[in-house]
Amino acid sequence: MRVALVADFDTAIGFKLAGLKEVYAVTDGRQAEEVINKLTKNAEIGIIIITESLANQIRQYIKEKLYERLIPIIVEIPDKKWAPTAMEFIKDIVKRTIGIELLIG
Amino acid sequence: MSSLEFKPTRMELIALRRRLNFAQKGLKLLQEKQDALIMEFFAAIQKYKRLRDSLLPIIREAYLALANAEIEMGALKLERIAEGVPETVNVEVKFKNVMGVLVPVIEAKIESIRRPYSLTDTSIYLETVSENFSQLLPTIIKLAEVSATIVKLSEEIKRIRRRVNVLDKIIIPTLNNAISYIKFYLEEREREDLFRVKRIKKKLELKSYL
Repeated sequence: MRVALVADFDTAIGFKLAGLKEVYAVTDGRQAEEVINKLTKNAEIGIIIITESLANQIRQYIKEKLYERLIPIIVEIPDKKWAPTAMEFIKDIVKRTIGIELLIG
Repeated sequence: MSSLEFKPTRMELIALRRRLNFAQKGLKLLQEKQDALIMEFFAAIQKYKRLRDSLLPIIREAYLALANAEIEMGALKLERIAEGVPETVNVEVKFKNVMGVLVPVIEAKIESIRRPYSLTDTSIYLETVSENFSQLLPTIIKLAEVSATIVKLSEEIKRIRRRVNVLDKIIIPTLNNAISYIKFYLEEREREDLFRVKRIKKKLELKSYL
């Protein structure tokens, strides 16, 4: 299966140079949502990489997708502006699983 | 739920005790499984954090090199070259069983890049960019595996917690109530019987005197 990337313009070029083909450069969360919708219907795609700053814009949508199906796996990676919103995904899932908020680190 | 749903007979009492025993055993097993899964869950989170942290320095370098390459060659040319790079990554997702939970295992095949451009008319940074971003890929794929595992474990933990709660807060108390109700009822009837027998005995004795 193939690996797809949904990211801003710069990240997209970088990963294209590293040899990813299913690369979509988007500018905001709404566009990212459309692209991910299309990608999840494609059985060829095994992993969708998305930058954390984009994922944070569509947190609710990502959450639904995560629980809805296992493949494609959606994975968030830190990007240029990682600092303030790091690891939202983990914080949220810990809160939902254990019932309390924990500081991971 | 009221304990009146159960017939106050000795048979029913025995059956209820058996059910209570079974429910308690099940509760204990489920709680043990839940504890084990939560440990797995936190181990996976630690792993996620470690992997993510290991990405950060490479990413910083990669973006720096990318910016330099863009300055030297221009974004357009860079993009044109990027379009020509052939696909190098292929993954296969398999599943492994961790305590009854199917978690993904990703096998990735990453080929080295065949560069579709000459080294003479491109920036030296182009090489660095491509190298840095390639370096990120194996870790990102591992990160995908761990994050899917975390989601799966979280779902299972929530499911088990619901069942533990049902057993602990509803089923076992109901059974306990029913058992004590039946016990009380049977004892009461025994006392009544005893009283009746004594009464009849007294009456018979009176009769025999006459």
